[in-house]
Amino acid sequence: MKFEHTKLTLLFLFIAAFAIWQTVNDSEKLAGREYVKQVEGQWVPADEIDRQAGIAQVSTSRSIGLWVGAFFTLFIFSFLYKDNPFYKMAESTVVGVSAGYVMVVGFWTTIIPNLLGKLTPGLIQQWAMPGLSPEQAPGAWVYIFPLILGIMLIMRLVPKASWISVWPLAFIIGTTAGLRMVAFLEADFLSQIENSIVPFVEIDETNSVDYWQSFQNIFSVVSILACLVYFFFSIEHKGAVGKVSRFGIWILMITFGAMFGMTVMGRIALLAIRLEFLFREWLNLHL
Amino acid sequence: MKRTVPLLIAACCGVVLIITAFIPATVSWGETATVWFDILAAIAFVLGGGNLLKIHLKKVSDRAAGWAYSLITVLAFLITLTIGLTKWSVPPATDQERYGETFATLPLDDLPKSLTFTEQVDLDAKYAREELPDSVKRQLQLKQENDRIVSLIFRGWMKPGQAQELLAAHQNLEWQSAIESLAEKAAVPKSMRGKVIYHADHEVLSAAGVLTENGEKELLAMEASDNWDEAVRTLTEKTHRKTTFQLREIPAHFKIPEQFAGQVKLVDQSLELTGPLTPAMQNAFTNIFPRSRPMSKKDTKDFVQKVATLDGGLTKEQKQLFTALLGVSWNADQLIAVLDEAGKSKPVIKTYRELLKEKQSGVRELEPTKPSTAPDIKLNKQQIKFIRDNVDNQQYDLGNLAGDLKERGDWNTSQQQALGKFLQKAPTIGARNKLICLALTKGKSKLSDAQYSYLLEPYRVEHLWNGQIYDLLVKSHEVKYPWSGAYLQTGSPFWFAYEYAFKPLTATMFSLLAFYVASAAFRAFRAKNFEAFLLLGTAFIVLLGRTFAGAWLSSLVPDTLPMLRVENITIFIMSVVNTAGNRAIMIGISLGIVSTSLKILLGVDRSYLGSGED
Amino acid sequence: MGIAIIEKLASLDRRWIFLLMFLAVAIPILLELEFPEKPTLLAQDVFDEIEKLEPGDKVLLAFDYDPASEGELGPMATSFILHCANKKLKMYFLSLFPVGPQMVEDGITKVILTDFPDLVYGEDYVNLGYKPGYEGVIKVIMTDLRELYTTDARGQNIDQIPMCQDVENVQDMKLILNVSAGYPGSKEWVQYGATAYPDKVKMVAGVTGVQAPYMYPYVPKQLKGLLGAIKGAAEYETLVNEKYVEGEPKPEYREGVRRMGPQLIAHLLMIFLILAGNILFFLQKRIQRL
Repeated sequence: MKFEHTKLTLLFLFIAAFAIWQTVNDSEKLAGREYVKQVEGQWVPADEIDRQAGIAQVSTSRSIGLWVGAFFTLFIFSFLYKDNPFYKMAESTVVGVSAGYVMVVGFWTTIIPNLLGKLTPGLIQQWAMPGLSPEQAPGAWVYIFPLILGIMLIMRLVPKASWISVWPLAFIIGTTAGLRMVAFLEADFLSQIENSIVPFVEIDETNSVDYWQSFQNIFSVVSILACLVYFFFSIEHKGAVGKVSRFGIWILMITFGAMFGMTVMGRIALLAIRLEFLFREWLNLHL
Repeated sequence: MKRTVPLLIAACCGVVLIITAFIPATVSWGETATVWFDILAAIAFVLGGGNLLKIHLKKVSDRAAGWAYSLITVLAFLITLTIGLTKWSVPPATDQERYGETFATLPLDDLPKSLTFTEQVDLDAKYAREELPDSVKRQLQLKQENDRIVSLIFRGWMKPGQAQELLAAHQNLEWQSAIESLAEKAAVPKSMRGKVIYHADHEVLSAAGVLTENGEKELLAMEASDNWDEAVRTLTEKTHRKTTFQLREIPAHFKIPEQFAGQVKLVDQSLELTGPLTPAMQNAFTNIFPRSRPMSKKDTKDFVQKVATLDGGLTKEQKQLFTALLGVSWNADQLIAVLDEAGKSKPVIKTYRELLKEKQSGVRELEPTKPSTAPDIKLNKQQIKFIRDNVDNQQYDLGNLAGDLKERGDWNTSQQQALGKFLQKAPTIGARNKLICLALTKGKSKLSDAQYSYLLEPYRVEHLWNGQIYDLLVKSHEVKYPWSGAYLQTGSPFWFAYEYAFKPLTATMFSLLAFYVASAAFRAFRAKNFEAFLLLGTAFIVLLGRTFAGAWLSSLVPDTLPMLRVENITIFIMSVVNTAGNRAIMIGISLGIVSTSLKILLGVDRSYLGSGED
Repeated sequence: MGIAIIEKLASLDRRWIFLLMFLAVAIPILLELEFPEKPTLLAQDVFDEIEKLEPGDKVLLAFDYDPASEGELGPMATSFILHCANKKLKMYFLSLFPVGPQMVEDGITKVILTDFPDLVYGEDYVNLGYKPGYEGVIKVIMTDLRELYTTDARGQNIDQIPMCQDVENVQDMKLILNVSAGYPGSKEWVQYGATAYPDKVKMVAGVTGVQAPYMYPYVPKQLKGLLGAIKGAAEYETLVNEKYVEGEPKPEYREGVRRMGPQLIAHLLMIFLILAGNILFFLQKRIQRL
């Protein structure tokens, strides 16, 4: 094993030892374990009151899951040091689990109720959805078409028959194109132009000119027009056009700066929640 | 052909969806196309999973570099798929299982002839042309002669829900009146009401609780096929099965309610139950714990003092809070108001037949109700005094209140029911004490183990008992739809895969971006020109303005210069400059989307067809 | 020597920067550093829009996010549920993300089952679940909910759920509360919902920091209010807690405010890194000229 991998292994062992020590010595008895109580046959998370009442118990399986989740988190973080087998193992796991997860979700949320439930409601009702009416709705036979298209789509996996998968793909592409064209025109083109048409002179409730709001409106309209001039690449950006497009670039730079600032905020929040999980939920550490 | 057909498909679909935005009559075409699109999107997940398996299995079989990781991927995928598709260890859906009922398979055609109910009518044939509600399609027939509906024929017993759906199907008195008559005829006989029903959708004969000897005789007396007799006998046999349940703990005041004495026996520490536990029995067995009620000042003080003298004591704030919480309860005035309201005579709802008769006799303005003949009953002084004297008397059993009030004045069934509902609304002592513990331990306040033990004992007993009764419900129940549970049931193996693998892994993957953005900030962000300076300067202002630092810096700026406050500058940047910039970008993008969509729909852009070599 | 230090710092191994970022976030979490939040206008608009509703009004809570963005969006989702439960609104949950129903169930467990046990599933709130199809789902359910949603997330027939019986489509909802991590999300709800049916549909949204700048152009005509990133979540949380929670809110209702502590330190670190990087860059340039 490479020296770097040995270092990482030792580090993980050290963390595991610390976590075990913390689990054993935690005065609140929260570290490294999850408490559950049974409510109507279901095991649900138990709180401090349930523990004090004596109805909560440590769930072995969920506690093991907690440790597994914590170590998966650490394995992913280890990539920051160097690519290593622990990270690769975690990455492989997430690829497999995510693919399986979305397939199961698609099956139970759509294929069963919305496709097979329409074509063979009696069978689905007997087996998976007792609340469904066993009578086929009138006109439900048309669902044979998406079933056929779906089978054609799966033919993509068979090299000799993969050409047929282009038909349902074309359906998807055509539908998306049709949906998006109208929606983008309405919401992002026409509505945005409408939203941009604001009064240059704003009058407030006291019937006097609101100079600040008026300035903002004028600035906003000028900025939008300047940015749009910049996007006109078929005209040379010289002279007056050049100056206006320069102003447009400045506006865009400020926009990108704001976007960067907000993006940083978002990324840090994602890190904060993972560290909260490790320090609070797993180790119950407080300084 | 291979390339022409897909181009035509894409064009047709796109055009249909565009047309639906302009012609309202074609909206259903667009809906159909979108529904098919959604189904294909779900099937695309299957394709994704299949593709994943194909690639990684090939890598494993070829022993290519990194094949071990591919094996992990395949195993993780197959395990998640198996436990998810099979709903491994997922209990059946509680609201679909019909606890307390026992089923015996019986096709609709095997119902006795006496369970065919006919109502002679004279209705417009238009009702026959419209869709019947799904729940009655199998059972209801509309017989037509000479373009009129002459009879309604219903096979099997009609459930109240089916009657409601049929009444709501057409808002017409003739129809509703006919349905009302039919529903009356087709109702389960009084002797069997609530005990036996036929579910046509599932083609099962069902018995609630135990099918008694008399019930069995009555059913067998309906001469029908051998299948009918067999179904009845199956029900008898199944509903007489015995279940023994070992109890861990029995509340001190538990007694088997009289109405269930024939079905349930308490022998030593175990309950012996004949047949399934019904929801009514479950309710009766769990509804045994005293409920919170008003407390007198003395009782409140004593209770608070008792807890304060235990190990740990109570702070002044805790005592005040404790006293206030004990005072939050219903009071005598509220009870009196509820009973007086219940005692008022309510107008009687007319039947549809009565309304039809009125309509046919020429009445124009039909009133849906008629005044009741029963008099209003208001609590008298004696009853009111009794209530006020006893509600906060902890020695008085509120279960006797109905009887005692009846002895002291007029009392009707409505008031009886209202009293029961009112008292049931109050939380149990256990639930109340749990809320008190929660409130007394908010923030940095604490309670000692002795105090917890004292306050939470009723909660513990209640929780354990309810859990045991639920376990008995499940043990005595015959599972009918094992695969009806939710695929993402908490606690199932599939949920484990999500909670302890998928969630931490994906969340941590994304959290790595925080580190990369920091590294990029140090190594790549250079203010090489004015534009870059603007970008970085804006980023600084937004980074500060969106945290407490912005608020702190703003506090240093005098009130006369609000425009220099970081938070105001941030608002200006976001709501004016950023909006303007993004608006321009959106306009540009939307034009790009329109042009790309048109290119696809007109067949100019054919990249999605692939190279065409396969 | 000075030049050597500059060269060394300029080519600093990025792992030291990773460590700095780790400490900048970890230490505030361990110290439980918190700062008060002052709500801004957009968060107030979101709050006011929900406050205008009456008990019994139907609201659609579309939770279009997954565990990857739970850090930013979880507190918003929790506060939305808390606000709606306190206002006694009828809550209809759904999601356009495959993992979304799980986020919904987490929110229901955290808020409704714990603090509002009187609310009944099927009468006061329902989880309709996920349907694949991205914006296609929105397009269909705006006119006909049952075309796609034949069951809820738990598999129960939608016609057997009391609060769904009088709902034909999303236009029956008084307000759409969308929590969005990306695509499909707020933009699609605006495009296919609020813009397509401007008189029938009103909408407020909570989005990630990455998405927030792109949503500002929709405010206020198409979006009545916007919560951007964890800051927006913390502001909205503060408003809801001040109005509806007595005493100190429990930790689950203060996640947004808690996560703002690390934000401050990390933002200061980012500013320091950008300045340091630029200073070193200009110093290096000067050295090269010399």
